[in-house]
Amino acid sequence: MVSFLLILFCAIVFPGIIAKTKAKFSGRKGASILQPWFDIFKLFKKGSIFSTTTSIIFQLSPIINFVILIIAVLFIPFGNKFPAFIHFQGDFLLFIC
Amino acid sequence: MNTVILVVFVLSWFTFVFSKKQSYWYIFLLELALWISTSYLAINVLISGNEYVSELISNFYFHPLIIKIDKLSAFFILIINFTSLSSFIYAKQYLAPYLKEKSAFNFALHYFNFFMLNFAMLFVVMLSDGIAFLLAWELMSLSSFLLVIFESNKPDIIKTGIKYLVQMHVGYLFLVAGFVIVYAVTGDFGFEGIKHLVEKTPLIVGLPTNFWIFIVFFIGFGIKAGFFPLHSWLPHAHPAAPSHVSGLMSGIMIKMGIYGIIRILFNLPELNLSIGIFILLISIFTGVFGVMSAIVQHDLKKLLAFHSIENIGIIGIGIGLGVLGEVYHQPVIAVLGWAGALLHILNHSLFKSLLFYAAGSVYIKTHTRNLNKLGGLIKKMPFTAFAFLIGAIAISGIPPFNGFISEFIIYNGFFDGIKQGGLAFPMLMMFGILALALIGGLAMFCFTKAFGVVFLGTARSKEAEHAVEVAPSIRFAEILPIFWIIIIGVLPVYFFNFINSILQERFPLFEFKQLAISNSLKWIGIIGAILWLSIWLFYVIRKLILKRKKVIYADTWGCGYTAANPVTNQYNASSFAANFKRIANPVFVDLSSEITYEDKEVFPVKKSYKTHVEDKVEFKFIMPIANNILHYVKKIAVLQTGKIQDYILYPLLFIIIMIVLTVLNII
Amino acid sequence: MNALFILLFAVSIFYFSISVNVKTYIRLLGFQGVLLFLIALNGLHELSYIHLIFIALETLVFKGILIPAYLLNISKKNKVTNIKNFKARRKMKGFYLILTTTLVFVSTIFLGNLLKNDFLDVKIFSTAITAVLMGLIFIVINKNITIHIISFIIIENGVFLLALAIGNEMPMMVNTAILLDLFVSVLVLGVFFNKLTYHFHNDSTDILSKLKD
Repeated sequence: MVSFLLILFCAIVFPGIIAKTKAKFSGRKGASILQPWFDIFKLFKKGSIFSTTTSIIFQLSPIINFVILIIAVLFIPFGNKFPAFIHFQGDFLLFIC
Repeated sequence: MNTVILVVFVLSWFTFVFSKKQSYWYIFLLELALWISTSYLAINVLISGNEYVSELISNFYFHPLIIKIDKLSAFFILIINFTSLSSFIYAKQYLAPYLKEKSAFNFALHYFNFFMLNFAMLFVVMLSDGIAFLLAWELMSLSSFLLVIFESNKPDIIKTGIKYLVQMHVGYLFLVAGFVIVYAVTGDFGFEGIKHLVEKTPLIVGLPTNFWIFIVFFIGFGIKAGFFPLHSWLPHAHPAAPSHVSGLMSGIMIKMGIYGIIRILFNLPELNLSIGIFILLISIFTGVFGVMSAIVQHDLKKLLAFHSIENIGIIGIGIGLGVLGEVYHQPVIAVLGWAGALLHILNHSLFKSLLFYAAGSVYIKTHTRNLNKLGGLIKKMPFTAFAFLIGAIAISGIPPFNGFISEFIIYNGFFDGIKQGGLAFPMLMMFGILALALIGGLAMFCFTKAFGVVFLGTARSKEAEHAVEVAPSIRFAEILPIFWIIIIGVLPVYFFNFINSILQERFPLFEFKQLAISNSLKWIGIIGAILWLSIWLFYVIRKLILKRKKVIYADTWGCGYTAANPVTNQYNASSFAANFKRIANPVFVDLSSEITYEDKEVFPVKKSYKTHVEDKVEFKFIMPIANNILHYVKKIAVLQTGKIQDYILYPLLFIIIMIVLTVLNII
Repeated sequence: MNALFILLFAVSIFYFSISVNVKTYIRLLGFQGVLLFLIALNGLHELSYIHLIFIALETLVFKGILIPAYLLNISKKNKVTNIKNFKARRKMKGFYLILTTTLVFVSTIFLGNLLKNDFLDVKIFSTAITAVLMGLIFIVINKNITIHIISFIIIENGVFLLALAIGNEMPMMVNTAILLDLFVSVLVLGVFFNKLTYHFHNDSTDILSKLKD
C-alpha cells in the first residue's frame, strides 16, 4: 500500500521537479513545481476533436492505457519492507504483459 | 448412448433426400443427438474419474469395435463438440449467399461431411485400437477434404483441396508405418502396443529406438497438426475452405494431431531426453516461423492460418516442457508444461474459431480477404470488429483473456526450470522463455496490423464501404467462444484445476494442491475482473465529463484542405510490415516487384507495384521435389492407354505373376 | 449337397465362356446368386437370424433378382442383345476361351491343393479364384460395356465365395462393404452406360479412350 501511494505521489511531483531543475541549470526561472497539476486541470476543461476515420477504439484506448498503468503500479514493490500491494509467484510476467 | 451414436451414424446417410434448407435442420438434429450423447459420456468420465469402456459393434473387421474414453479423451470430446456447435450455427447464415448457385446435393453433401468430420474426430479420440483408429483418421481427412472444396467451381480451390488430400495421405502413410512397426515389435496393433514397448532399447544412430518410433508417429501426426517443416498444407487449405470449416479445422481438427502426439507420449513406457529436446526445438521453430510468416501476409485468412501454426508451436513448447520435466524428474515443471499445453489447446480452439468466424463475416460482406482492400469496418460491422478484437487480444496472450493464462502457466514452468541446477536444463528453459516472449510480441504486432488495417481507418474499396453487419445467428455463434474466452480469463483457477484433474491420471502421486501457481491464477482472475470494472468505470466518468464539453468530428489530415484523401494516406498491410519484412527475410521468398524510373522520365508516369511473399519451405524445398517427381511420372504415363481392357489386364497379369511366384516358392 | 452347388457354380462359369448371348449371361448371373445363397446357407453353422436375413438379402434378393432385372432392363433399352453385332467385337474365339477357362480352373485346383489346410475349403477356394480370374479375363477380351458390368459381378461373386472358403461367416463390415460396393458399382456403371449410349450411340468402350486426359 505504501509503495502504491508513493508511486502515485512521485508520478505527480517528479515531472515538475525535473522541469524546474532543467530550467535552473539553463539559467531560467522555470515554471512552478506544480505546473503538471495546472496542466491537468486545464486539460480537463477542454473539449475534444475526433477524426471521422477514428472509432470507439480511439476513445477507449487512453482509458485502457491508464487503467493498465494503475494496475501495473500495484505490482511494484518498494524496498524490502514494503511489499507490493498484490504479489504472487510469477507476478512479474503479468506486469510485463 | 451407444445405440444413439450408431443410429445417428446410419441416419446421417439419408441427408441427401432433403432439400437445401431441410438438410441443415436434419443434420442439426443428428448433431444435437451426437453432441449430447458423447458429451454426456465425457462429463460422466470427468466427474466419476473412471474410464468408460464399451463395445460398440461386436464383430467389426474380425474384432469388436471398442470405444474407450479416459479423461484425456473426454477433454477433447468436449472441445470438439463445442467447436462443432458454434461452427454449425455459424454455417447456416454463412452459406446463405450460396443458396442460389449451389444445388441441394451440394448442400446435403456439405452438411453430411460436416457431420462426418465431427463424428470422425470423436472417434479418433475414443478409439485405441489401431485399425479402427486409422479408419476414423481417414474418415476425418476425407470429410474435411470434401468440406474444403465446397466452392469447387473455382479451379484453384480444387487444386488446394487435392494438395491437402495428398499431404494428409503422406501423414497417413507414416501413421500406418508407425503402427506396423509397433505391431512388429510387440504384437499389438494400436496404442496399447506402444505401452508394451521395451524400456531400455538398443541405440540406433546414437539414439534410442523409442525415439525413432516416436519420430515416425510425430511425422504422421505432425502433418495434421502443422509442425514446422510439415505445415505447408495449412496456409492454403484454410483460406480455400468456407469460414466455419476453417474455424472447425483450425480450432480442433489440427489438434487431433496434437492429441495423437500426446497419446503416444503418454503411452510410451519411457520418455527420454532426446524426445523432449526434439519437441521443444521443433515447436520453437514452428512458433517463430508461424508468426513471422503471418506478419507479412495480406490475405486475412492466410494470416490466421499461419497463426494456427504459431499456436501449435506454443502447444508443442508446453508439451516439450512437460516431457523435459518428466525426464529430469521434476513433477512441478512437468505438470505446468502439460497443463499449459492442454489449456492452450482449449484456448486456441476458442479464439481461433472466433477469429475465423469474424474473418468469414468480413469475407461474406465484402467478398475479399485482401487486407489492402478492407478498412474502416468497425463502423459498418461493430459486432464483428468487437469479436475480432477479443480474439486478437486473446491470441496475443494479453492478460484479461484466456490466451494469457495458458502462456502464463508455461512461462512459470520455464522459470521453475531455471531455478534447477545443472547447465543444460536451465539453458533449454532460457531458450524456451525467449522464444515464447518473441512469439508473443510478434503475435501482438501481427494482430495490431490485422485489426488496424481491417477495422480501423477508412475503407480502401467500394465493397468495404458498403459492408453491413452480419445476421444474428452468426453473431450468436461468435458469442459462444467469446463467453468462454472471458470466463477463462476471469476464473482461470477453476480451469487449471480441471486440467489438473486430467493430469492426475498421469501423475497419480503428485499433490496438485501444493502448486503455488493456483494462487497466482486466482490473483490474475481478480485483476482481470478489476481491469474490466475499472475500464467501464473510467469510460463512464469520461462520458460524464465530456457531456458538458464541446465535441467536434472532422476529417483526418483535414487541416482546412478538402482534397486530401484519407484512403491513400494511411498505413496498409504491406507498409505496416515493411520494416519487419527486412528482418524476417530468412523465412520466406519475397516476390515483390520494384518500381524503377527511366533516366529520361521527367514526369513520373503511372506505376504499379505488387507485393507478394511465398513460404520458403514450400517454395524451395517441396516444390522442386514435387516437380521432379512429376517429370518422371509423366514418362510412366505410356501405360495410360485409355482403354478399360488394358487397365484390367495389368492387375490380371499381376495376380497371375503373384500366384506363379508363390507356387514356385520364390516369394 | 454343398459339393453339387459348387460344381454347378463352376459349370456356370464354363457356360459363360461358351455363350455369346447377353440374355443368357444375365440369367446365369441370377442363377449364380441363388447358388451362392445355397452355398452360404450350407456353410452357416449356427443360425443367427440377422445373418440369415442379411445373406438372403445380399445373395437372393440383390444378386439373384434385382441386379439381373436391372441389367436386363438397360440392355433391352440400349439394344445390346443383338448377337451378331456383339460377336464381331470379341477379340477371342469361343474355343480358345473355353480352353483358357479349363486351364485356369485346373491350375486353381492345383493351387488349392498346394495350400491345403484345415481352414481352407479347397473346392470353394478353387472355384472362387477361377471366378475372379475369369471375370477379369472377360473384361479384358470384351469391348462391350454391358459385359464389363456382368464380368464385374462375376468377380464379386468370386470374392464372396472366397470369403466363404476361408471362414464360415464374414464380419459385418466386410459383408456390408461388399454389398455396398456391388450396389454402387452396378448402379454407377448402369447410369454411365445409359449416358454413354445416349451421347455416342455406341456401346464399345473404345470411345472412352477419347476421354483420357
